[in-house]
Amino acid sequence: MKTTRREFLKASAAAAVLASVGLPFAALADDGIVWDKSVCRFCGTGCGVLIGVRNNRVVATKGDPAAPVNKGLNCIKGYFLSKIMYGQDRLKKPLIRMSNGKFDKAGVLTEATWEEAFNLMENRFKTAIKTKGADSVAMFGSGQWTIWEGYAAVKFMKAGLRTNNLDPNARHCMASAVAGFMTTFGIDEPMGCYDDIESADSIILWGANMAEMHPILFSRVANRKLSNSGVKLFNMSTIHNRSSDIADQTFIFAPQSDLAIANYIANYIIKSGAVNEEFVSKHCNFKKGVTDIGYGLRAEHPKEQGQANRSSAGKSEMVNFAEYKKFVSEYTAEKAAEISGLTEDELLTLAKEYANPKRRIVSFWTMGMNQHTRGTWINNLVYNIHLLTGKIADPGNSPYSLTGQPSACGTAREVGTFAHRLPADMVVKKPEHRKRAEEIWDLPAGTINPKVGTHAVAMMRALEDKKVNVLWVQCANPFQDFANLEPWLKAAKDPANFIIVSDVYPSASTEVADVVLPTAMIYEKEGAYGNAERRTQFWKQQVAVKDDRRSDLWQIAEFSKRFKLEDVWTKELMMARPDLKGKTIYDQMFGRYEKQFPSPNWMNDEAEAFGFHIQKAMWEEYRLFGNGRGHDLAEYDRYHKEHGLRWPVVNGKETARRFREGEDPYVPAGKGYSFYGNEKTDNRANIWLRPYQPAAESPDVEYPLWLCTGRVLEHWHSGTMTRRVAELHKAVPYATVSIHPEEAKAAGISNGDAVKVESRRGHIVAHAEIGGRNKVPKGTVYVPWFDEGVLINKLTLDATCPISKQTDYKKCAVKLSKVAVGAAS
Amino acid sequence: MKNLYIALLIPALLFAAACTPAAEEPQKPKVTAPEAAAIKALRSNSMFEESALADAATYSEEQPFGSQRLPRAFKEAVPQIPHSIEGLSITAESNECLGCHEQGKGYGAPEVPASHMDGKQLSNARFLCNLCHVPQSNAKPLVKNENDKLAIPAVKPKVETE
Repeated sequence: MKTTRREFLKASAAAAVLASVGLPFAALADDGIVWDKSVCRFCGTGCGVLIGVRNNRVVATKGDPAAPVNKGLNCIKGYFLSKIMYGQDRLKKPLIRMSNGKFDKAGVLTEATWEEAFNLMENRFKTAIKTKGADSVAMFGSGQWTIWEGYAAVKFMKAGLRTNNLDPNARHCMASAVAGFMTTFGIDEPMGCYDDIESADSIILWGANMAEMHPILFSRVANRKLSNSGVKLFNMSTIHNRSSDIADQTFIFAPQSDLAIANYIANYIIKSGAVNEEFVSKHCNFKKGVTDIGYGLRAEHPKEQGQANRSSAGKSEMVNFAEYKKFVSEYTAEKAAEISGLTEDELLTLAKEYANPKRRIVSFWTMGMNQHTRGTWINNLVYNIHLLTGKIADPGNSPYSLTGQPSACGTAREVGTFAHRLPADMVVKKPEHRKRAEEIWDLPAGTINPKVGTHAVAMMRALEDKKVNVLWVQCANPFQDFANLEPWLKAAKDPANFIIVSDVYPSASTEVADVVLPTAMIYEKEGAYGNAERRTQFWKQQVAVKDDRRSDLWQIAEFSKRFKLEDVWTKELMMARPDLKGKTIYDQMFGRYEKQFPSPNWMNDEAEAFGFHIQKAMWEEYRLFGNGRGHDLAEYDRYHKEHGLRWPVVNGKETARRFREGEDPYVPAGKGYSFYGNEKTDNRANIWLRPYQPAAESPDVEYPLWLCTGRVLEHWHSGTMTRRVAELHKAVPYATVSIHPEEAKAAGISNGDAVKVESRRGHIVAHAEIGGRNKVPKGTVYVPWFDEGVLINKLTLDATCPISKQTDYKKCAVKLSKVAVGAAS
Repeated sequence: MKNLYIALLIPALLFAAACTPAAEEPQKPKVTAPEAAAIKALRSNSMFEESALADAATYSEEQPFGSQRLPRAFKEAVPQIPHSIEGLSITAESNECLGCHEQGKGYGAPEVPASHMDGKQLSNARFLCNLCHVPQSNAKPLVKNENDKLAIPAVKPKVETE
């Protein structure tokens, strides 16, 4: 899509617009639309898109034919990107909840200026920090932040305010995957890439409705399967869903029984002599974890009693193959069938597929395995299968943890926007990691707080306990997306607590916020996302921002100007750095790069505001963390020229598959494979001894049904963007309760009837759906969570994997009843 | 009764006037009802109450043949399905959408465009129509969208006569 300078000058009508978005990707087409490359706002697939702008408005988008991920295809959500920024109730100005001109938590959101909003926020932050210390403030961020937005938040909170109370909504999404990677491989993120689809013989889904949740990757799966006879697709799920439409076989298993199924498959592999003994002996260790770990509930909860390792759930010991073999031998076909509800034949079909040395296998998973009270364990267990057979880091052989959000990888995980993390997989509890961060960030020794902060669920509990009193939410909707909503709503409205929400539209969270900050959206800022195949993709600002909206990056950097280091650091730290006296957090974290990175010659509101190319400055500093440590990223300018690059990018070359000799520059010649994340244990991946354990809350006499929550194709997350696009809204206008036809009939419920679903924690009323896209088994109901009018998370339980701290949104106990239309709640 | 009401009202107004807002807090005129209503999530009641159940929406029951095309959101936007898809399915073995939408059928259904083709066949990457094309219910939009004005009216289908 290149245009010559002569053509550019000819097009005088659009010349000004072209100048502002910059060449070479921007190109002039007919009807005055200027096209430029960017990425989709939505899922972790990371499709490339072309954004069409006319008169400072995004008027059209299309799939980018040059993007390797999607080759010009989008899914329905991606095809409506041009409408997501233009809902009429888009937030315009900062809002403060007021009555009679005064701040009042019981008041109404009233227009204010940025100055007024920041004044109030500054007052609240400083009062909390002064009276209770920095751990009384917290920030809840996002896997939908751009990379430098997450990085700015890390610097502001951890280096500036010196609290680790920073956690992203990715905690609800990928934390178990991360813990799985760290415990199995010692380093985060997939070793394979999307190209593994085109080499696979079998593609096996583990609790992931890929057809609706990663549609473009599923279209690549469909292409692979339909174009090559012999390629199989297996859909393992707790619910019969659309991924079954083209599947060779569907396996409906009981919730939580994936743990037993995976162990059975490993047992079968061993018993049938299908272990790749050379691979295992060269590249694997065996580890055994502790099992009395509870469910991440509050300490007083009955399920936490007697759980000696509830606070040390990661404990482990090194064992050997013999012990592992004995451990999994308990998982016979009979036992796995009993726990899972699958037949022994079905189990054998799966096991044989994995055991067959001639079949290349890609296992895909997302929320079914991650949003799980044993999420870390089940991630380990599926890696076990691929490690035992050596089906890993090899074209078509890929245990593939798919990412939900567009930049949970690029931002939350790689930048480390977690309560326990620093960039590039480093952690606050390790002195050598803190030292490295302090060196790169030019901080006095001891700045970084070694104490792990509040992870997501802990943040809400701390708010409830009034230990955290100021919460700043950016690019997330916690008061719709956290499990067990009721106590958190109350905590938000407690006079002791102050809630700031940066968002683009009114939402469930703005309903309880004290301050609302109108935020710039994806194509209104220069950005970068990292997708589920380690592909970092950049884009330029496409349209000028209207009204008083500002990007998350601007908000963090601008707000940080209000804090002098000497007000938030100790006397000892200031004494170590007398040169920093009088400096603000802004000066030391951001502003010190002013001279080094002049503003670019294209549209960039933050560069204009701060007087330098702040995004580039943050990027060039950030990549110092990962370079040479397996997380190498290329220089900033390179990404604006490419359709993304998969890291590690070493000597200018991206890496398709990690840990594999010849593809990964970190693997020495002659090694074949190297799991160098576990450098200290001989570069070996860990095969884990992890048992089956039941869910935190199973159906019982009073609440006889499983509630599973999830999504639909047409809506993204909490629906704030997609429900404001008529075509997406009309496709699925509200959340329904999917019910089994026989159970519906027994309760006198017909399709469309109003039904009440209730758990011990709350209830919703919604329309029943019988025989729709999700065909639930008996004993289960399914409700998607995109609808703020059907707050299904009032029912869910805030039980987590005790290792990853990720909430299990897929399993709790409910009861179902028909509601007379017009009946009071 | 009315006189008593006024008698109570005047002191109340005087009392209110005497209480000025504190100096440190931002001063703003009292918000009028329309402004307050504008900052509203897509639900009917407070977060602590049940939201009113959405009106039941129905999908078109029109049969595919003869159904009218829908407007497109913008030029070359992905078209949506105006007819019922009840009983129509896509499996690995067969894609029933092609029964009408395959090139050269002559039913007046929008034909699978060149972009979707792999030679003379539908590309297998485009086999799952319902990743992009979905039926539309009669649900009213929740909020207006500024880009609705870019919509392109539906094109009348061409039906070959025998």
